[in-house]
Amino acid sequence: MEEELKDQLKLLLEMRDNINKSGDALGLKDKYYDLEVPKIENPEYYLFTGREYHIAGALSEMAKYGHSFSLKVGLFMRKIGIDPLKIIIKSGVVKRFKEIPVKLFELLTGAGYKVSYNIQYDKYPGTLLWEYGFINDFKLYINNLFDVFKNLGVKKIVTISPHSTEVLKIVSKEYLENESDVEIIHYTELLSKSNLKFRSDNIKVAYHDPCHLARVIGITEEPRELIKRCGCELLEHDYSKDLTTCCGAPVESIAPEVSKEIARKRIDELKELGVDVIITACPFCLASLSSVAKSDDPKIIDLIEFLYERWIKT
Amino acid sequence: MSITEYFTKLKSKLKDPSYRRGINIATANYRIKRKIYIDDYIENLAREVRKIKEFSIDNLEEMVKIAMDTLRENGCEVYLAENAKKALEIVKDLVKPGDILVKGKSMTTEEIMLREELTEYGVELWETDLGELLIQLANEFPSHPVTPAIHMTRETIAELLREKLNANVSSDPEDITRFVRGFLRKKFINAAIGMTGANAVSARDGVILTMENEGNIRLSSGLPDKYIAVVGIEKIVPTIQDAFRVLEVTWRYAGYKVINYINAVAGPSKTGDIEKIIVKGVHGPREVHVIFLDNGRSEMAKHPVFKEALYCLRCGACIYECPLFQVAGGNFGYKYIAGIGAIWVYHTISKKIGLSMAYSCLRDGRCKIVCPLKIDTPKMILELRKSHE
Repeated sequence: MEEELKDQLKLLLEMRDNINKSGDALGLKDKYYDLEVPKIENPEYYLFTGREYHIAGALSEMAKYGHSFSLKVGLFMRKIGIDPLKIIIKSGVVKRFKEIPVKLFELLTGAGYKVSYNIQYDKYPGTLLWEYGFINDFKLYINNLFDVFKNLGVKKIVTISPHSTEVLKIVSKEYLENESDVEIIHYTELLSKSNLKFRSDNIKVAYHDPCHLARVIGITEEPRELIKRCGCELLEHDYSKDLTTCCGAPVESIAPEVSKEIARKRIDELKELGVDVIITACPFCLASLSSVAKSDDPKIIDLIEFLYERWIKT
Repeated sequence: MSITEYFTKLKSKLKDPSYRRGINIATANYRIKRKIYIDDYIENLAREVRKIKEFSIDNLEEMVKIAMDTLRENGCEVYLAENAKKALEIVKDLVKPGDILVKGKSMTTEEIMLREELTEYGVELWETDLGELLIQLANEFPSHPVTPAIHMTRETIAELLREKLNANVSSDPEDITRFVRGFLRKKFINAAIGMTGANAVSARDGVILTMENEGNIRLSSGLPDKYIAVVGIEKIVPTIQDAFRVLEVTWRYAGYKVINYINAVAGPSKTGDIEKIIVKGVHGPREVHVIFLDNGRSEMAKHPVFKEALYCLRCGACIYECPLFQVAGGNFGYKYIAGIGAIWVYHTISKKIGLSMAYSCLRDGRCKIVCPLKIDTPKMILELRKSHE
């Protein structure tokens, strides 16, 4: 790759180095990602966050100071013995994003699924390596990850993020050296079948389909069914489902100002429907849309947050 | 253009209200038309066209050979240019400084910098498509293959014509069009050479097909003594029926119910009306020159992933629907625009700019959904990134 291009892709290449060095795009320790949830004996399902809500939260926080600068400062702080986690972890945005997988754990458990969680297998799925074509790095990474699944006896995985789902369920097939019998289930596939009860709410909502969830994985109906169970009015934009519009996140690390314009345009598009709330189901969509939302915009919220708020625990 | 320039340009129009308004209006209109004009019949036809293109690209070498032979039998001069430089040399042999050349809009000629090269050579070249003329006058690159000047408002356009052509025009679209008609009419009549690209070529019959709404291609290919068609080899399909299918799918997905003019040229104008003796050059051109351009295409055709880019009909559907194009306009491109453009730029114009475009692509995948031929651009983008690990 030419130096001039490397310069434009600096942040991306830094994240790649971090993944290769520590298994983590941001160079953060396991402690940051671990979920505080009860241990379950003889689980049927294993929750896989792919750490992506945590990453999206941290990136949102870091974006305030400039990503590249934050990554550098983080590395420097670690060198001189200060844990950058202590600073990031205090932010409200980070707290919000970190709570989402915990809320899902509770919803799944509440729905009667025997779900376990363990940070040992819950690694970043390596999406960035694959998306940007670092294929040799990715091959190694994904094979290691599936070895971990095998060694820990992880058979049925419940994913949260569309990107984890895509990589584990579809992409990995092309790159795994040994065939895997791990089953990948997106959480909406489980929750939509459950008998969870939700408080009815007389509001108008729009659902922003995450591109990869709708177009690659093909999950568009399950989230809608769950939203409708909350009794609110779900308004559909023509540019939904397989015609959904990008939230801007993919270009965030290369051209943040472009990313923000795309996010802004998507909010305006959905705002035309006259909704109170825009629901999405992807950490990066949530971060990207939230980063440009203004006070008079519909509230941007993750599907898990939306459901959790309305859940009637029995 | 350098890599840094590309990335600077990509961000340059984000906050430009008139640029963004032009693009917003065009995409909104496109969405309305698409809803009406794409029906089951057209979707089925598009599936047929995909098969036609798959066959043609898999047999590209053979297609080129047949097309060249039949066009020669029809009385055309036929050339195969392996790259942009060769194509320009062939064209320069057919024109001379001082000639007036009237030209139809063509992405293939944009690719080889033909307008710039011939102007430098001393040819008085006029783009005769209204939008493309504006691009020529503003010295810019097209924003879209079908609507090259969609980023310009009527005020910008009137100002441009007043400045560059001393036009006495208001910003009324009728007034602007009337002026351009009058201005170009003189050029058409005095032109020594007419030049166009092609939308499809029938190999079996040796027919060049072009389509348009304005009537400028009619005049460019019909009025001057010499007609030159510059044609990418991927445009060749087996039969004239195949070629018509390609055209119909292209105009529908470009947002038109029907296209105003379809022009078919098989050879020089001729008559046998005097004692059955064939005389060339009656009302149409006496000479027809067909320059087939390879310029990386046969390499693409051999690649299992990139060959799909050659199926592209240039209807522009994916561009209108690209979320990055919708905010950055033609700056997400360099002549060829958006995701599919990255693949084309990489193989035919500039590796480094094509690659820069590939890294800026969102890979959100809507392009594939709206493409008549369901070309898997996200997959090609990934393949390009992979090759530069």
